[in-house]
Amino acid sequence: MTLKHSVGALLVTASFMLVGPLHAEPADSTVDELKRETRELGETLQKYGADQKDQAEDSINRALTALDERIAELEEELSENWDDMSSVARERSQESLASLREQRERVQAWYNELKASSASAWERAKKGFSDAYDALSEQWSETERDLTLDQEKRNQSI
Amino acid sequence: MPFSPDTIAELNLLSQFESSSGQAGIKVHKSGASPETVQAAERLFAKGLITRDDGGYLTPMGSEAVELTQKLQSILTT
Repeated sequence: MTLKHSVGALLVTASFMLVGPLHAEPADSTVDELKRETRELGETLQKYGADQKDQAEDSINRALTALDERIAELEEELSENWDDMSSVARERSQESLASLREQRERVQAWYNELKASSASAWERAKKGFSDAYDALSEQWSETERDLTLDQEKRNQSI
Repeated sequence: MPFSPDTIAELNLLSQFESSSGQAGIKVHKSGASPETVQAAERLFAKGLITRDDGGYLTPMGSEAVELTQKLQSILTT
């Protein structure tokens, strides 16, 4: 049997540290802010008990809405830059965004599970959501990095 | 009721996930994996236990299934 175990878990904080310097420009302050909020949600979620379900849902809704908007922006950027990109860069960017969408869908499935969970199932659902959310955050950082690197290459070649 | 070969193939595939947390995904290569494994992945996907028909990640229900599979295996092997 040829089963290939794919990407393991990396600490989200570590991935943010790796990506941070690439987004130091003022124009990326919104992205940096979103990264901070995303990281904070991952941390604060751990503190929510089953009796704080509404608060948890509010926090998650805000974070996911902001993240969805950013994903839409990335897709738009890719579309705008498409003609200037090499076939390799196009393929890499498309694959990266596809992985990001897959992780987003996975988070949504766990979020639905979390919303429907009883008090006794809360911790299990929260753990599942947190793991999926960490993977989404990690993939988001990778996608930002992939698209930024391509942008930098094109800028240098001009 | 005995486990069917199809069910056993599905249990074996579920046991390939390192943990029920779903942090790591798996990929079933259609060119290299046995037909039983390929079909098991397709059935697990159709049942909503994994995110892709060739592996992917565990869904919430798949995560629960893996937990139960691990418990069963632990009971039967101790």
